[in-house]
Amino acid sequence: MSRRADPTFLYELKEFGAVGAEKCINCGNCTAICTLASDEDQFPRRMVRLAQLGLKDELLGSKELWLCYNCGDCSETCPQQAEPANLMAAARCYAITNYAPLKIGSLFCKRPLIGGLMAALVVLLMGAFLYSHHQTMPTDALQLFGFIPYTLVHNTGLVVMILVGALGLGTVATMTSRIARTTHLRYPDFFGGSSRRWLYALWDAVAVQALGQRRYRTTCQAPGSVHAWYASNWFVHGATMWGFGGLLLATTLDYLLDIVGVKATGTLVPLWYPTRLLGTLSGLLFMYGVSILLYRRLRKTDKAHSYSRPSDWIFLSLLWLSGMTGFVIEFALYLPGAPAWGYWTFIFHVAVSITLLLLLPFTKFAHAIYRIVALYIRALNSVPRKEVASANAD
Amino acid sequence: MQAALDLADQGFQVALVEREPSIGGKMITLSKVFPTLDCCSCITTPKMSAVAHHPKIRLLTYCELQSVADEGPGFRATVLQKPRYVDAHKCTGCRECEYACPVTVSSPFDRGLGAYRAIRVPFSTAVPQIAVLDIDNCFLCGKCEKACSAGAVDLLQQPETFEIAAATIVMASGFDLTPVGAKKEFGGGVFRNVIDPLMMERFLAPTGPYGRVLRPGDGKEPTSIAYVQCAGSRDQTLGVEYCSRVCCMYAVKQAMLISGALPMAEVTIYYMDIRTFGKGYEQFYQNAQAMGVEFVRGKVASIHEDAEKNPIVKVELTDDGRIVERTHDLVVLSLGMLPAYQSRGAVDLPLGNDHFVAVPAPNASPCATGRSGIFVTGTAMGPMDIVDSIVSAGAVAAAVSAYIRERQDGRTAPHDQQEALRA
Repeated sequence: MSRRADPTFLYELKEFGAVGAEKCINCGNCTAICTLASDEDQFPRRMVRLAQLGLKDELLGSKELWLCYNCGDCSETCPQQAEPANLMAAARCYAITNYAPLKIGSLFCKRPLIGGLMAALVVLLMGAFLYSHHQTMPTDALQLFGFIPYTLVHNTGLVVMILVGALGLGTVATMTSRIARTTHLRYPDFFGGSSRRWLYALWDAVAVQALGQRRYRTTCQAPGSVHAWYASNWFVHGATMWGFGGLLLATTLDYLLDIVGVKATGTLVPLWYPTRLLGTLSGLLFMYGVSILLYRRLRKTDKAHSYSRPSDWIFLSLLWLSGMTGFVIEFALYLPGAPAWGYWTFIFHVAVSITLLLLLPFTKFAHAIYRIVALYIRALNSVPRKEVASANAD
Repeated sequence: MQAALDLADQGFQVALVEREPSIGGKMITLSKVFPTLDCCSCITTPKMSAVAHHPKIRLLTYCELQSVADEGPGFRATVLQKPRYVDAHKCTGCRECEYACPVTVSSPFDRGLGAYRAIRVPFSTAVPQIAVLDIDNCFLCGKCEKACSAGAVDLLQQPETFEIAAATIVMASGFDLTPVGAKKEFGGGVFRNVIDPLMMERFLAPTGPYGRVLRPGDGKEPTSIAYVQCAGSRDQTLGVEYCSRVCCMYAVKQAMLISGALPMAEVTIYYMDIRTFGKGYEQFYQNAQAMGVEFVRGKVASIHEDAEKNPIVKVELTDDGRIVERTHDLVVLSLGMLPAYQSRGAVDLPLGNDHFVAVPAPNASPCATGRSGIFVTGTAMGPMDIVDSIVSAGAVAAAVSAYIRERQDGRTAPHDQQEALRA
């Protein structure tokens, strides 16, 4: 394969927030300090090198971008202060933009004003759409679904999920084809060999690594980390992710209970009711995680949180707003006289949550998909060696 | 020292102010010089001797410059003579006090690898050969006083200050190494088998503490030695952005000397770039490669220890991207140079961004500082090797000479003037 160097590419990446990568002298300190890098997964130096040379196809075809958890150790110890962690983050933003259609992602990566306005506009339109179907506000008690029919909320959510699901599949196809081209894999290779192998890889990627955060928890331990477990990067990220998952699950269960006729959506149930309890606990965990993430980026507590793209802010802000408004509604439910702002908060809450989902393929949220795909490919590659080893042992 | 000799040879009166009890600086502690592999002692000792015996040089050791005031066309320097607790005029350097002294102290001359007594002549070729008592470690047993046949030990000696009138001042305050514990990734200075390059110089020097290369952790003879280049400079996380210029060459030189001292030892040099800029240096580097010294391109990111206290370096082999952890017996951190000059209010000189004494016009006046009449030479102005330091000493001597002749211009004979040198 012929390769073409493109010295202008780094300038393009700079617009995605790659500060300092031109200072890199390729000493390899970052790769050697990184606890996640290995002979098979060479980063960050190789990624910086690809960026410097302008080999964008190779960069977009690198699963390594998504194996990084942004601990910031490479940037902390870089003798040139070339900020390799930031280059990785910028390259991820670039990849999100390029995997999804129409390069909509670049608005969120590069343009704080337009990106922010875009997100606000979607929230506004979504809110307006919900409001256009509003009924009267019951004033005796806060009956949210008396104001906005729950079928509307459910159906909108379903449509958005299907839409995003389809879009997500498309972006994953783009990503895997990019990786296939770079690594000379064929599509069958992604489900290579025996079914045991790819089932194992899937289990490892989804359950062990994504939900269990194993590599984040055990391998990605920055030697200089000063945080207790509850403030460590993996736990804060995990809290956010598990919290979000729990909230999503609680909502889904609520919907299913409604379908099977156990409990109609909107019925006020006590706090210990399973779905509500799950939602509240998840919500607390979620708000803990998101608030710390936001705080660290605001205060730039370390190198890893010193360079934020609009995409980081938009994603985290939407998460925080959706969580916060959820709790405000919970609070409002117990106030006498069904305050009108409770209803408005509800509309806002639903609009923000749906916007969050709708924008998933274009914002930082997309990492949730790409990371799993990258971890899957990584696990797939690591299986044969185990098999070889056991075969040799036999 | 070289500048003092050059000026004194031209007939100027020179006062050489030295902080340590002996002149010789770092050079006298080294093993051999690159790229000629000449013996450092053999080069330095005659110069030290020449300084001591030159009729135009007044040697003021164990002194600190206290302050400098403008006076007329020149300066008035106030100098503190620290107490040696030994009468410099009576002491003959016979070392009887040293043999009598019961207190053993770690020797900074040997970078802590050797020991000497609380009262001692600083090292065998010290100039002047006058004993000095380390009062902080002395418990005043008085054995030295009894042992001294010249009656030179004087435990009641007090610090004294005196003044020097000088037409010009030359700063030759030298360098310090960046601290061995500066980088926590390299163990923060707690690994005993991770040493600084001046320790290795002492191992290799004929005057060294053991006369051979032994690792400090357990006294074993190392068979695998690694050099970590750019361990103290070109590293913005340490605030030392500049290249210290000498580390590549001293690492190459030490690797060669180790190959001689320990023929079975493997020497590996981990580097970002090898900078062999001087005359004959590139050839020197190629010779080392031919001798079998292994050069590995990759910045060592971290060092840890195994159970036997062997240091393990982690590095990316940037030629093919593999990440390896290699165990060595001994690791030498190629530390960089920091300026040793801290004015402490003594001399106010503008410093550069690198904290070395600033030279405003390095091309036109390579030794002139930001203050008229005060000059700088050697590593006080920035990292340089021995060859360049000697050139710089000659340059400063010429600059000082020209300055005085121009300013005095027949009003006073040049040899009536004094130069204060802080070496």
